[in-house]
Amino acid sequence: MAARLEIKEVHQSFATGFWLRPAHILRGVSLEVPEGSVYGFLGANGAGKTTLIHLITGLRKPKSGSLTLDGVEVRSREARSRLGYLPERPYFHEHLTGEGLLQYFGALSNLSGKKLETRITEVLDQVNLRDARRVRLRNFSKGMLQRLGLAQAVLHEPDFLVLDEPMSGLDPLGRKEIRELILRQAELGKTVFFSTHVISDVETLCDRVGLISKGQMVRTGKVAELLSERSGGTEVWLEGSAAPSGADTWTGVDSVRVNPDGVRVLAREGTDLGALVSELRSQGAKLRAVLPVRPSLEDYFGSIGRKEDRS
Amino acid sequence: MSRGPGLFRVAGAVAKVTFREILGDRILYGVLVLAVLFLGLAILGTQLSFVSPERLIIDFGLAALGISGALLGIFLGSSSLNREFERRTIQVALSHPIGRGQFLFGKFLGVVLALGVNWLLLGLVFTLVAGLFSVGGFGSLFGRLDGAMGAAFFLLWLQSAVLAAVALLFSTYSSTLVSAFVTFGVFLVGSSVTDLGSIASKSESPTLRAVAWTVVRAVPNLEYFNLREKVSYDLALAPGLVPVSMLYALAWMGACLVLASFLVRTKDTP
Repeated sequence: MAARLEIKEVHQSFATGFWLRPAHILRGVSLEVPEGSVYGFLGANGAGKTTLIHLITGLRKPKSGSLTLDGVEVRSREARSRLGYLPERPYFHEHLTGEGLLQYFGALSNLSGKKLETRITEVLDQVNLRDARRVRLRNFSKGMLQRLGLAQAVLHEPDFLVLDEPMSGLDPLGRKEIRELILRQAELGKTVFFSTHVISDVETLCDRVGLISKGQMVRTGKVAELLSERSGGTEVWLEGSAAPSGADTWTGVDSVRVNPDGVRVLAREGTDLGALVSELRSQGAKLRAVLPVRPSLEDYFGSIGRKEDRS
Repeated sequence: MSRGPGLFRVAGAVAKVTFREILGDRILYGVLVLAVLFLGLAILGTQLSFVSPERLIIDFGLAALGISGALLGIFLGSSSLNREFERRTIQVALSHPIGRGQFLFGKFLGVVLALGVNWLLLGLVFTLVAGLFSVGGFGSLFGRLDGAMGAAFFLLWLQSAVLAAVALLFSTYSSTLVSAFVTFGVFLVGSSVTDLGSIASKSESPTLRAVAWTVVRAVPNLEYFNLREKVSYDLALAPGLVPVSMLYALAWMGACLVLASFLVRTKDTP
């Protein structure tokens, strides 16, 4: 699959303090976003997510390195005409109505007349804001502003969407609505690049993921591939409320925990499960289930993050 | 290959949003109230002075229009672009296929339109007040409302637009407050170019003379836009004065906007 967005060796720093010492925000970031993918860009607060997004949207110029969208430099007007952007917090002119804001951004995307009016109606329908068409933005809730922000990002039908923390600060219902809107864009064949620090959002939406830490890309790849790099082992569930004596010291057993609904014996990856089960049975344990433990993205990035912190 | 919308589409859209924003801003109405108070002072003056009331009202009225228009031009010019950066409303706008120069031009147009509304409202208030308090009523006042008076009004609007362009230029690399202060300095110097020039020419220190001349030449000569004395004393206007003043204003506005559009490219987005 061809890369829609290509970022190569991007460095960015800002002068800070009285002596204008450079603070390095991005240190040689490289990544590729394939066409038609939903790319989750993960990182803790202050890792450099928003800085990279400002570079992708052409709001800032990198100190060095290159960023191209479909082979065109991202700061060019051609690249920006193919891009839709939702900032972390949609800062809009509060005196405008929902419709007025879309007319404004539509004009900035070279839309006008009947076509613009039709698109405004369509996108307001898509984000369930038809009734708020003539309401001033100062009367919008945060969720409504976020949905309107998404509406303006897709108004000119761009092929590439950049969403900076699109679900931040929303209630569960608002998050669900935004998630569905992103999935709808993916179904339409758009490439979506969105930043977040909420791993469950990435698991739900993304087929590809990149993790940034302290201004450097730590991991990139397909979600399924990353998860297959690690195995969570196997859990053996036993009936009753008493663990076989000394089981936690057996070879291959990681932990034994007594839960209200039974005893959970966690076996490490590569353990001879047949031998373990026989041993448990010989101790009089009643076997209930043997299940593989699926590692979550959270476990994966948690371990990566700890490694990074140590280094 | 898409090149994005043209200059006038972008400038028109940005100007419309800017204009509406300013109309909802209290500062516009504050300046209007200030000007009306100044006109009230003129009316009080007619009771205490031997000068003809019409002349006093015209003199004060034009001064009120000039000062309020200048203050508003300085304030709006300094704040309109910086406000976009401070409130981050510029982020989404600049992610669209537009140039920063186009955006800046739109901001300036919006400010000039708002200055026009202020100018129209003040002109209306001035005509009403002057008509009511002139000895001969509206008849006497309308006798004085000739081409020269119209030109005087029009040039005051141009003056406020020039100051807005200067303030916008300063705001591309400084804060709203610094830009407003510096532009106010430009207003003071630009309004006294003749006096400063004569002081400079009479000075014995060559350094002082050089500094004074540099300052005088580096700022717009706002005396081009001040017909107050000529109108209130009913003096004849030099032929071609208005077109020359218009060209002078356009040259200053154009130069400021071109320079500002280069500088705004280096301004970091929030």
